Amino acid sequence: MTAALLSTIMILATLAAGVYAIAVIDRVCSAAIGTATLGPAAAGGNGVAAITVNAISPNVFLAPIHQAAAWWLAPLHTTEAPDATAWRLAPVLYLTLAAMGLALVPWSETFVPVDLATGIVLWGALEPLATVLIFLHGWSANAHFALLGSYRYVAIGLSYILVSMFVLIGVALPAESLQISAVVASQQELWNVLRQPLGLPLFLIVGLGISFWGPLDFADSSDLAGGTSAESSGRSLLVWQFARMAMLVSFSGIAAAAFLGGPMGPLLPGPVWLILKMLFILVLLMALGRLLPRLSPERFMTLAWVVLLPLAFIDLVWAGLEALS
Amino acid sequence: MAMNWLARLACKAPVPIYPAIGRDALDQVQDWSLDARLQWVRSPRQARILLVAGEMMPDAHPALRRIHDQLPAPAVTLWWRCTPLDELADRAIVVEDIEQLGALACEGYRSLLLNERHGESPLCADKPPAPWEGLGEHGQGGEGMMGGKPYGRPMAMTSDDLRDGLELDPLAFSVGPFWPVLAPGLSAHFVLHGDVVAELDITSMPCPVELPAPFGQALQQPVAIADLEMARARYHLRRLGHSMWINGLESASQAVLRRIPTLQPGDSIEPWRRWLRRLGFFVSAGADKGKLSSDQAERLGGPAARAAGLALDARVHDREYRKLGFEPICRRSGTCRARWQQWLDEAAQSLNLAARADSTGAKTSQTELIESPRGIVQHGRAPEDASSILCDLLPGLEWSEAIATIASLDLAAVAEPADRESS
Repeated sequence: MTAALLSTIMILATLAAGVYAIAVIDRVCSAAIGTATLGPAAAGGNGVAAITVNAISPNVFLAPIHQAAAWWLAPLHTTEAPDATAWRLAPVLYLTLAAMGLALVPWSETFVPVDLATGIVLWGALEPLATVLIFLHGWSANAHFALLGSYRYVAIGLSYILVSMFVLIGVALPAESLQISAVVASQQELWNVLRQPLGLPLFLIVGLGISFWGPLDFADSSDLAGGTSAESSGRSLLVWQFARMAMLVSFSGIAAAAFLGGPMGPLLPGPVWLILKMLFILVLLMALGRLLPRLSPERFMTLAWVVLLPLAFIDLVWAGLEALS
Repeated sequence: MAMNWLARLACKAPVPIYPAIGRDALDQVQDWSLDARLQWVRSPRQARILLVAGEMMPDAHPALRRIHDQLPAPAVTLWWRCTPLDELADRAIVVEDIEQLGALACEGYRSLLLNERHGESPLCADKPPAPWEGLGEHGQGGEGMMGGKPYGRPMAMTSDDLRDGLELDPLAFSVGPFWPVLAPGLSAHFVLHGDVVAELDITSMPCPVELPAPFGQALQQPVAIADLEMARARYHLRRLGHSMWINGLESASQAVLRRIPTLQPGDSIEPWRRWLRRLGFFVSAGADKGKLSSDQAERLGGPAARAAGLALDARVHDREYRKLGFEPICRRSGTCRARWQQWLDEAAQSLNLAARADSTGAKTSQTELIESPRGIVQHGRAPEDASSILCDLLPGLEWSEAIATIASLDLAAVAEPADRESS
């Protein structure tokens, strides 16, 4: 009982802290991109430029909290004839999936909130369920942009989920188990990121896909005025955005466990190592999200089937040969 | 108390604001969108403040009323360079000088959060835009179970597919004229199959644009080529920034917009191009679509025509330009990618020309025919609206490609400088 309670608190606290970290990292990435690539922002001179630089510089550490408060207090909007239950529920269920995913991540050799013998399979099941919920969120709003966003997401869903399956089978092979703690233990000598060099880069794309982030934001993009969340406002939007970032946190946990040896590492305690590795994955994802433009869904789908999927096969064959030797 | 504490936190967040842009206001609103106190939201549902900027023709008023009501109540409207609607005139917050925009928006937002101000009352009646037209006893259907037009919208019925034989329900809807993704004033009725555009009707044309001041002067008197070329470079880069924003490079696009006002003659934008190429912007959504035929290119003129291989450029007729070694840049393919690259090329060329003209103090030698960023302008003849070419160009494209194509074309008519003086 106590263990279950401790696990639950641990998962919820990690999700909340992780979402906060993402919000901060994303703001830092956004600001860094401007200055790093196009030279320093104009200081002084023209009035407009001056105000951007001199305006009460928003504190990146407090900004996420201010934003959350603003969403919390904003009025809730409804459309003409939404499927109200599904519309309100979809963000909550998506958040639940994120929490379920994070529960699979081992924090140390002894502390694994849910150490399923089929952990990899459960994560594999969460990905298509996420697709269902993203579709539900867009469809239930009963509005054209939201519907289009969800159409598009469903259309590309399968192409990245397949990549994820093969890459994860690849990490299960050397462990000879579908249990995530066993996958971590199998990396005692060499982390999977080195043993299967194609694995992590391919899996990062899955992370962008499952949280429709950056270049894979086909569901909630600007060209659809916000896509599935175009009609959402206030708390509903807050939960949706929170859930989306929570899914990234959960993904980073799984990626750290599958490729970076999870809690393994010298000197520092296991959980600290895990958090550092998760942060590393999140920084990578945020930077990719800000740096890469969005392809058209058709082009991405071609890329996924013609390039990424064969690469995932190669990764699997590589993992198989390596496991045999 | 708890509410107050939360409200005070929320006051520190950037103000969610949605722009409804009319005539001749886009550039300045774009510049001020960089204000860190404001957050320009993508959907009016997420805004608390509506900014109505620029002159509105009376025929845009119904759309303005609708967009006003699309902000969840309570909301506040700010008016800049435009007369408030009669219904809202008594409580209108008028922005006299755009520099006050940030401050006024913050104040309006704060007063909403702290309940010091009530929102505005809705302007449209809360009823369906069209009655339910059905013949059955429950209002269903036209003939039998199918057909009919619930609330003026066609029933979901499959129709022939454009692409792969999978029949989908057509989805019909209108966008614009206040959608920041499209040019101000442009509104269109789309019919989509899945996310493929099947049909498109332009329901209102984009507002005519005023050219940057140096171009207006160039029709009256010789002006410094450096000024003209700097204005041109800024114009093109602004459009590039918008296309980058649409294709998901939001932070980078902001960086471009922030850099534009501080560009100096002779600055190099080669790093921008290298950087865009490395990140894959030139293969992003729509890059190889939106190919203009030579007729369409000729009709559009300007960089869009040159990107499609037509060497139309009035600057070749100006001897001062020839002295500076000007030659028009052309590309062949006429796709969105070609236009993006064309903007970069021409902006770089303009910055170069500006540097050379700056050192010699060269002025234009002719006033009857000038090359504006939108095409050739002469007395009594300015580029006309070309939005109808979208009806040929977009069907068959996926939504993201269609939107990228629209963003890559400068379709609005050019308001003649003479108009401006008389009005």
